[in-house]
Amino acid sequence: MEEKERPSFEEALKELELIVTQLENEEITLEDSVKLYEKGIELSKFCTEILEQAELRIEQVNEA
Amino acid sequence: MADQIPFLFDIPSVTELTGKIKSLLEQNFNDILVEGEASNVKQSANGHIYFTLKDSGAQLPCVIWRSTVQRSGINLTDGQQIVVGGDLQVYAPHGRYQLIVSLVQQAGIGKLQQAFEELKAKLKAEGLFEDIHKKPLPKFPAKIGVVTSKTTAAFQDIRSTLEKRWPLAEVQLYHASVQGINAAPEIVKGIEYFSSRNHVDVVIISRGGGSLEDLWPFNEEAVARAVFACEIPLISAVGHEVDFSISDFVADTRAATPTQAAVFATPDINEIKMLVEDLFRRVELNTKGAIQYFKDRISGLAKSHALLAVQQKMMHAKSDIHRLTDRLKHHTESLQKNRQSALIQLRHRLDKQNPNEPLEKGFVRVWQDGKWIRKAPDFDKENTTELEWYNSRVKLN
Repeated sequence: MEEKERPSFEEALKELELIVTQLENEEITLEDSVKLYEKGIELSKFCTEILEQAELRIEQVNEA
Repeated sequence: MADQIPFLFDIPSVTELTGKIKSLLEQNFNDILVEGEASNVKQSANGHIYFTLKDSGAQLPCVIWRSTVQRSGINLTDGQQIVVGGDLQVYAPHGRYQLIVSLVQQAGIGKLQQAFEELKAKLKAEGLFEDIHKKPLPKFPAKIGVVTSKTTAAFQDIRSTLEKRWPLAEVQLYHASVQGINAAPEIVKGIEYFSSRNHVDVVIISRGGGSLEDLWPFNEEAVARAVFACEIPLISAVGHEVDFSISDFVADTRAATPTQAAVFATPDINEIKMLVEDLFRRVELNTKGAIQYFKDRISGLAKSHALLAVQQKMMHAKSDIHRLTDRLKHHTESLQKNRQSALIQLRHRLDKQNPNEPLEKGFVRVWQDGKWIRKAPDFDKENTTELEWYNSRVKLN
């Protein structure tokens, strides 16, 4: 995914959840379900990458 | 001082003055009772217990000698509201007075507690604790503001919990004293820092356990007002499980401990990993499901009545063709057989009818003008006659 269009983790997870909901709707066309599948796989990889690489950052914001 | 000190002969020395104070105090404050909160309780190596009895306005240094401790089994801890009895003693070398305690009893609500209850009642009446004001915590905080002292165990607990649970977060620490006279104003500044910038998703104000006196900044009205005014969801985590501070009541969420504050503020990364895995599997499963659905639909259509009827017609036609072909074949075969046997019979008959057969046996055929003379009336005596044997012919004149 491009850096500029990188969603936040929360946005990515929300979209992934939405895709699953749409996929679980049987009214969907085969063409759409293949598109959603590709997007869903991409998002789940993106989320997993964030989760696996996360490292807590700490910054002190005032002087003391 | 503008005025001259008058020249007098009876100016006392420090020792003399202190001696007067000592006798004055010790005589007037002998075997007295006093109520307050025990704080800074320490036991010396010699077994004496030193502590400060205090309320919001004053402090009284106290000592319980080891013999009294042993005799009465006193076990004091910080924050206990107590009534103590004893004698006031002035220790001249230090210029200090203290109460030599001979009796300790559990007291009712002490002065701080009273102040606590008064503020709590006041803010409750104003509606600051109402659920309607409580903001929900974010599910997936990207930035977490923490107001606490960076050197405390409380911050270490928050940090290690966040590292374990939600390392995706970025922690912004506003360092503030969490006890003493400066603490409340610093905590207020920290809350206002995050509230005004609005760049973190959740704010935690926290300190570890301690006496009521230690936790007191979180019971100050200024802190309570700042917590209430904070635009960002705020978690108050002050002291241990049993400690409730005014900030706990005003905060959007109260956590029993600093660790619990970090738990409330964040999701568990392991659960989220499982969730993403689950969603991933559902994406795969549902896509496969969709494909299977269309496959089933296609095979369903293939089995539909209309197509089946056509198929059956075709089958019938095929079997008709087959049957007819068989019949045709059979028919042709029997026809051929009949013809063959007819031919054989004909041959037989032909063989029997063979006009040459008699010749082979020695009979003679009579020919006139190229015609076989088969009957006597056909014979012309005058004409040329030809006789035929089996293998030769002879012409007669």
